[in-house]
Amino acid sequence: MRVLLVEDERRLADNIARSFRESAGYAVDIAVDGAQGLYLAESNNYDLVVLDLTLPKLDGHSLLVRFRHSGHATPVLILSARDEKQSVVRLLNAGADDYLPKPFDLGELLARAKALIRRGTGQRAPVISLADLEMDTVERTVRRGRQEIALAPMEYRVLEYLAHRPRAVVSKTELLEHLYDYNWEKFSNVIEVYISGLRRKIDDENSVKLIHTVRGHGYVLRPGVAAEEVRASR
Amino acid sequence: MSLTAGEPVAVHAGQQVQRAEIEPRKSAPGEKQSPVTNGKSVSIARRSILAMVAGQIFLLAGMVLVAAVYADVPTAIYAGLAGLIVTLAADLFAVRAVRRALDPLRELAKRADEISSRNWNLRAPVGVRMVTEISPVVEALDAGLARLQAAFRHQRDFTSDAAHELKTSAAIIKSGLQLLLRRPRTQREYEIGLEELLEDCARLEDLLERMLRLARIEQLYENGVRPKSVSVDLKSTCEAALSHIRTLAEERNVTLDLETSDSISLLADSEDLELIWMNLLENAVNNGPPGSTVKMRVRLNGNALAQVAVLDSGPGIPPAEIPYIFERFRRGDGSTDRSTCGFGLGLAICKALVDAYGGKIEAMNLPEHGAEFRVDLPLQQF
Repeated sequence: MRVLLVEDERRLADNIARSFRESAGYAVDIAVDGAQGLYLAESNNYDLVVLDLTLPKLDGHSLLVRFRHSGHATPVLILSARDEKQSVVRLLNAGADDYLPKPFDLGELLARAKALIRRGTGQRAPVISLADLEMDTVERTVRRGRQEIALAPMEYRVLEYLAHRPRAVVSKTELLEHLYDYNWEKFSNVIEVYISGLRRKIDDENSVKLIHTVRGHGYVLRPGVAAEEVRASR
Repeated sequence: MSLTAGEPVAVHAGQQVQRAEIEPRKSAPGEKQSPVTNGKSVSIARRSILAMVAGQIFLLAGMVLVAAVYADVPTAIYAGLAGLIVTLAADLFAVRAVRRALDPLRELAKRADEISSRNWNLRAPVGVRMVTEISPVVEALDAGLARLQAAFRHQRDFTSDAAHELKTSAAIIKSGLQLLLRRPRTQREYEIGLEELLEDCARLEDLLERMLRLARIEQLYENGVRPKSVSVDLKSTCEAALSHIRTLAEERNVTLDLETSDSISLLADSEDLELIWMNLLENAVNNGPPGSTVKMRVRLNGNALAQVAVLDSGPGIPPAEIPYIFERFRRGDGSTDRSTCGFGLGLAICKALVDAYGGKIEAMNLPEHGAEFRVDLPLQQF
């Protein structure tokens, strides 16, 4: 998952970004003013935007209005030290998905961010299941049947992204964009490595395969159907 | 950061109001009481009617006397009685008319009673505004209320801005601590984390210090306490400020330059002056690009003023920002990095101090690039 953090207070941005990276394994881009924030939000595919309200160049509210006006549906979580009722209502009406007043609890911010990302992809329960695969996005554990599967952090992040979009074909570029911050091009040939690692750990000992390659398109997480059949059905 | 300050023009008007007009006027012991009231409650309507009735009684008495001389006494009495009845009837009308004429005043009192911190509008009806005698009162009330409202809003904005800054500082420290505690870390990681937190605390202290200093200067000025003033050599205060700012300038690779011609002394508190120059220099050093020079120029401006200017060669001030640059918690939008622009209190402190000395402070852009902050202070005691 990739998060855009728009926050002009550098120390706060660093603390939030570090905790997103450490505790949730999210890639984080930081924008230090509203104009840069809007530019990044519109030119990349983020899974969540965390937005401060008082920003130089373009304030958070205007950024939100313009972002929503141009048709983006990415969940937006607002952080603000101004918590008058009126402004909260105004923000929610302008298309914000959640609101957290400063000073907030880092754990609460993480939990809300996870919930928003989940809902943004249509998942409501924190535990995603597909056939006999279970993925707990809070505890960050994966099991297949009764077997707990230990995944490397990047493998987990790839699987998490696919599991949030079951049965949808996800391209390599999309995976790269959502798993790394803006330097993602450097990592362009590592996805295959993680996918093969996931296959080995999740599918090798099972007759029902879950991870399939759709040649020329990308990857899909769905039970049962072999890769060739997926390609044939398209 | 962009603040949504209410109406900046009104805010300036408000600053002046806070001193004199908010406090109710008490009559000083030596003050002469108005000869009209003599210290007692009076009614203008009653006085006018009494004066009218007294005039009528004189007139009637005259009529009766004339009738008694030229006709006989009974005729005079009848004429007197008839005259009395007619004048009494006319007086009844007059009293009612005066009562009605005073209705707008009662209406005005009722509206004035509805004024509170939530309702700043006198809302005097047109009928009241059109009365020649009352309209100046309504206008004066409206103007006074507008000034009070501006002062009130200014105060509220300040509270809300201060709360915003403090909450942000709290958020930084809290998130820093929670980040450290989220997982076990190495000794070295804890050390680095705690050192960063200590810096965050220093920043919070700096914010509190500046907020309190600004509040104190403004409060002293509002209470009419004049700054302590002894003869001060202007150049030496500039040199002291430059020496304080030198470390920061070296860190940012900015050269400092002082240009003075005359030896100027004025009546002031040298610490106040140093504080003004330090804030201006800090602002200029933070805005000047590395390798540039910040110039401080001291000279006489005419016979009565000393002028100190601080010039940088940074990006300049966005023209739309210039009118608000001395407002509290304003940060130049040109800079993206908050850490270099401080809290937006430095220039507000300068303005409060310059005001206290009866001087003038201005910000302007230089023709090529860069900004100039110019302070004019009176040489003589104000």
